[in-house]
Amino acid sequence: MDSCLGVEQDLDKALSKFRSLNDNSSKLLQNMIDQVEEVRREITKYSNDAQLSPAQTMLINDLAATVKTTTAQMSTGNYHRELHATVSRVGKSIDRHFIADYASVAPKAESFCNDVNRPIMEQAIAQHLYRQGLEDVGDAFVSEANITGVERTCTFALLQRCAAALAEGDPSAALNWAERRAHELHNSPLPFTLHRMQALKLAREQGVGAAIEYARRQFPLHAARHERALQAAVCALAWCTPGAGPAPPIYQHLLDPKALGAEAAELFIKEACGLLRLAPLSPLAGAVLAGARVLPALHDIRSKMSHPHVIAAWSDDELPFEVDLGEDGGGYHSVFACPILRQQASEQNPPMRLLCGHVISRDALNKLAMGAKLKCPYCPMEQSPAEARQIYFS
Amino acid sequence: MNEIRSLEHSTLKVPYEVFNKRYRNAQRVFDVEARHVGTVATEVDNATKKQGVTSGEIDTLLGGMVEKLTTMKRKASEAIAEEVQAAYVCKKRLEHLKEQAAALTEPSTPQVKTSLNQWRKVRLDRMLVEYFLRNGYYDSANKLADARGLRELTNVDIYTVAAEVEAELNSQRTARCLQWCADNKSKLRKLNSTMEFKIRIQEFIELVREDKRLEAVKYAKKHFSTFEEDQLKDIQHCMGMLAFPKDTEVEPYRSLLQPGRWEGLVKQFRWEHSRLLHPARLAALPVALQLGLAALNTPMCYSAASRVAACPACQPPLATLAATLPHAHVSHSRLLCRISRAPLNEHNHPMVLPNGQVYGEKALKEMMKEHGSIICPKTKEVFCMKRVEKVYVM
Repeated sequence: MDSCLGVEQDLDKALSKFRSLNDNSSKLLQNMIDQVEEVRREITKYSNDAQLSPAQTMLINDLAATVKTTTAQMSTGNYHRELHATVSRVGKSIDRHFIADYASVAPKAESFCNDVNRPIMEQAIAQHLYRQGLEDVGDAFVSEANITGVERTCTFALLQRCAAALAEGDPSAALNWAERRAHELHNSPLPFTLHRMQALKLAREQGVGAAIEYARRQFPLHAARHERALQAAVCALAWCTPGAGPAPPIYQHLLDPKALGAEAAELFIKEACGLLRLAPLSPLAGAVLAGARVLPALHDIRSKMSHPHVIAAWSDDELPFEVDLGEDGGGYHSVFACPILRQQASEQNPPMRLLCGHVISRDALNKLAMGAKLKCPYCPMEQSPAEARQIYFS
Repeated sequence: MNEIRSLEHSTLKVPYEVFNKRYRNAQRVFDVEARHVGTVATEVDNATKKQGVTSGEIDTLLGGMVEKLTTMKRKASEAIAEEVQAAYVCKKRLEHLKEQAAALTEPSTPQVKTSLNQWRKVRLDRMLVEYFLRNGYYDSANKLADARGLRELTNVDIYTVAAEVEAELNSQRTARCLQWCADNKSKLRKLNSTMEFKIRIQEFIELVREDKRLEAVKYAKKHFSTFEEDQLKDIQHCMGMLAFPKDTEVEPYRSLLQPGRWEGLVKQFRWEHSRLLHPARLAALPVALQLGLAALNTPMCYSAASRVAACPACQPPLATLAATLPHAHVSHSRLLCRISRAPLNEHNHPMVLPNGQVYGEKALKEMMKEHGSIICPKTKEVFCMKRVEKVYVM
């Protein structure tokens, strides 16, 4: 936020300066035009062939001099030229508040653009475009980038179209879909959300009567699970009549079709993907989302670690630290990190469950074992290392 | 540090460069027009000093002055309007960035989360458009920007010139590219660009190809005399070419005469153009993709048995790219139930079946309720609940 505000300040300053300069220059030039016109009227008042009087000559000389100096001032003096500082300050402000070379912390990104990896990346892009239901963009991309082996249709595109309609405020396609899968959705908040949206849409378009009619038919089924939300939705109808005043803040969200649509679209994608066992994000979107979260952390650590010894750590091409990817940004796999060795388990070093139930990695187990005896590092139990069993988290 | 600061430098910097360029253009307009007015003013001044000048003659001269002043007024206000418009593009993007910054600071209600997800979708689309533009997929970029209404938030309009130059180069015409080089002369010189030199050589080669060798020599006299020291070798190669027939097998003349050289020019132009606009070497998309894949990458991603449908690093085609990257650094276990995808912790204890497979307590109890026994989803073995044991993961 600070970075945006910093740039905005400078940009606003530049904008207001340019606007006032525009007014000023128009006024100045118009002023001169008026003066010249006046002098023209003055000297041609009597006849066109008359000799100029000395006074008139002086007047014209003065005029020519003012015009000359004023325009010269506008070009070379502190006029438009002066704004250079203001303009370049905006640029400097952008450079200061944002990181210009974000790529420097991703040394391997370059390899994604070489001839071997680029087609793979572009395949993922095309897949993403088709998944989003953007067929013509996908087609254009496939032909421009010469991509092969991407399926044009997928189940997800259908869901995406329902979601897009929802975001536009039309729940009918999604309602149809949910209707067909009603028995699988009985634990999900989706049907109620869709019905609520339809009721509020009816209230806007055909009046509250139609909405209540619809609510009577559809809401009772969901009354037990969504009592509060149902109450709120019906209450919100009170502000759907023409001439009703502004709604109190708790209902405003329900009466804003855009926000409601966006929320329903998101819920729809989540529930439908859960049902069909699809990933709610395309691989590309998921990876980019995670990447966007990693980047600030990398910049952060880079700015802290400028010591030469520490810089050497970058040559080792592993992420030098752990990033929390958030609830929806990562964590697709179970990851077991050995609590003794503090490193990820692997096929060569799998997790082992001791008799007491504690889990450590095999390498740690071998290190801790004293011949045929092993004391659990977490509880007093003694056992034989042979009694530990390999377990599988994924 | 946050995602905006790390990723959005070029979002603002590119329109700023346009703004800066317009500023310089406007200054030039002021200079040129002021000079025009100054000349007329001098003429008027001189005319008054002549003997027997009539008011009619002066009037015509003054009329000319009014005309020049009006042109100056019009051009100045046009130029300033262009500047303001360019600044507004910056402003618009800043507003868009502020949306996300505002959402991040607010408490996390479902509405804020929805709008944040929406914003992230737009960001991915913006990244895609930028990637398309920087790799010359202009048609796809335009289509995507139009489909998502992103023309103002992306640089499609700025890149139209580049698209035209590339189209010209592809049909073996150089005029527009030379024009572009002239327009950006000072900046290109600062970047040590060889673009213009390469184009000149190509024109020379084309003359040789058409067997207009005398004209080629004339051309070389005109354009090659002013080039830098280290380009001497290339010029010598060119001159040497004059001595060979155009279907020669002798290197380096054979490769100079190859039509593939035009493709190289297109590539170089694309590179120089994006170097001029963007301070970062790579588009944001591959960077975010690489870091994201690195952060999501686990040893489980490679074996078919432990793949997860939602994990971007497991699915083709990105899995191929992920395999080239190191694993994410993990020092604390992060476990998920493979049945419900819910996290495993003290509320949902990890339980091990006799075959070593670990699942969540809740999902196993659910299964118990439904089937009366536990069927390992992985191996399809059947167990009773008594043989399931707790696992303690530190």
